[in-house]
Amino acid sequence: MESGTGFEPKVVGFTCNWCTYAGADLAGTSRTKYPPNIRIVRVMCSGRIDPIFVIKALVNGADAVFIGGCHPGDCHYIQGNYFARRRINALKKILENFGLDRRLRMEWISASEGAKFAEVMKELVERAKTLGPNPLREELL
Amino acid sequence: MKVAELGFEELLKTLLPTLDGIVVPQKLNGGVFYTLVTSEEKLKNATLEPYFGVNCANILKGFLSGEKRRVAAVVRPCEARAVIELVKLNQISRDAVVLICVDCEGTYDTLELAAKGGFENQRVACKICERRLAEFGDIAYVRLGVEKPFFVTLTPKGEEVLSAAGVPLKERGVSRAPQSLEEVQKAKEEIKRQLAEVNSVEKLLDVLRECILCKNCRDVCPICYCKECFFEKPVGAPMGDALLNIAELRGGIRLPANLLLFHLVRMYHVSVSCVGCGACESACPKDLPLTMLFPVGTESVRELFDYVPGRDETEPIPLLTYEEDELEPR
Ligand code: SF4
Ligand code: SF4
Repeated sequence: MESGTGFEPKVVGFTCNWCTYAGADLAGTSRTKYPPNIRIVRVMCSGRIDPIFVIKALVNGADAVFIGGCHPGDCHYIQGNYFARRRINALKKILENFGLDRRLRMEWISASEGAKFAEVMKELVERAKTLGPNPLREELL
Repeated sequence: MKVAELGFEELLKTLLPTLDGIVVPQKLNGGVFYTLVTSEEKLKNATLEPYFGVNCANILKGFLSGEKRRVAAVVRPCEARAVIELVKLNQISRDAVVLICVDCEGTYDTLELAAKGGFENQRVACKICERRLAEFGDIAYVRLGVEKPFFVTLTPKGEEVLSAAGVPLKERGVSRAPQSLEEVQKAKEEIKRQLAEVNSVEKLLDVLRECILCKNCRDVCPICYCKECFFEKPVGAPMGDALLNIAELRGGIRLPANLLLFHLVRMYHVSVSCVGCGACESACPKDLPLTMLFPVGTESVRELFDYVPGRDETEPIPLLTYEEDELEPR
């Protein structure tokens, strides 16, 4: 893979079953190119993503974390994504203190937005490359 | 607002027969600590000396019986606010507790009393506290910036409890100067400056270097209320083979495990409701500067939702509600 430093970020993704996971799937089945750095954990709803998942991924050395859910109004469980948005925004504020917030990204991607999924992955991997490896990877933690 | 002009001890003695008990700090055996008193006999040493051991709200967790068994609690504003947060979180029944909130001049560690018997180092949490006036709860004990202290009812329940005890009440307005914030803001700026220096996770690890994961900070925190803390469960507190498995994955781990995870998760968990009482810092055996993390490091979260814990009993906790059109992504 082409990258100046040879650093390939590891991205952990948490995506909801109904929209973003299907969006990622669509990107795959329509053979849209995107960097293969993400490891997706499928959850039933973005509202299921306990911020502890995100913190744990970062503490364990993930270079970036991606969270995907349905667009407002589209949540399979009506309001899970609204709660998720509040939680992740709160978490970001805390991570901001320690410069970790830039490693976290949340996006609404529907089942039909395979191209958007690919685009977001490109951007996120680019950003992770700019930020460099998660310093915690090297720590004895 | 109704005003009652009687002394502090007198009020407690008048109230006691009409309630099931009173939670109040007392000066005993050279120390100051909370007591739960049901008989006047044991109510001889009630004190408002400015010492802080634990947050009273932490003691009141589990008072859930409602009006059937009701206690009054003498609390400082941060404690009253923590109680109100715990009511919202269903950990205390609002009807079970009558909050008598006292103006707070800032407190000192109970250890100081034991060691020196005096006031020297005001607790950091108090130095930066912007809410020292008794404005939360059912009955306020107004004693700062007034010539003669008096009680004011803040809620219908407060009024009802006082009338039931036969305390004479006068209808009168209360106007008083707001807390002067100059010193407080200076002190807070200083802590913010210190926090701004901790601008990377490596630096955060430096700050937490001496932490032994005793989890005292969690146990004394009124807002940390989970009955089954993640950090007591196998994933949060791995042992034996589980520990070895993690070490194998990473090549090696620091022990006790999960130091950074614990503190970051705790920051998130308390972020919206942290009242800034500083109980965590006071309880830390390693004297870690926890006030810098809670509440200062989590303040931006409360600002994001324009939320002041305990300010308004009817205001929902921000993480338990939402608006459709807000925040990012839209
Ligand atoms: S985190 Fe510390 S300052 Fe905040 S409520 Fe808990 S004990 Fe008090
Ligand atoms: S009280 Fe202090 S030493 Fe104990 S877990 Fe909290 S920060 Fe660590």
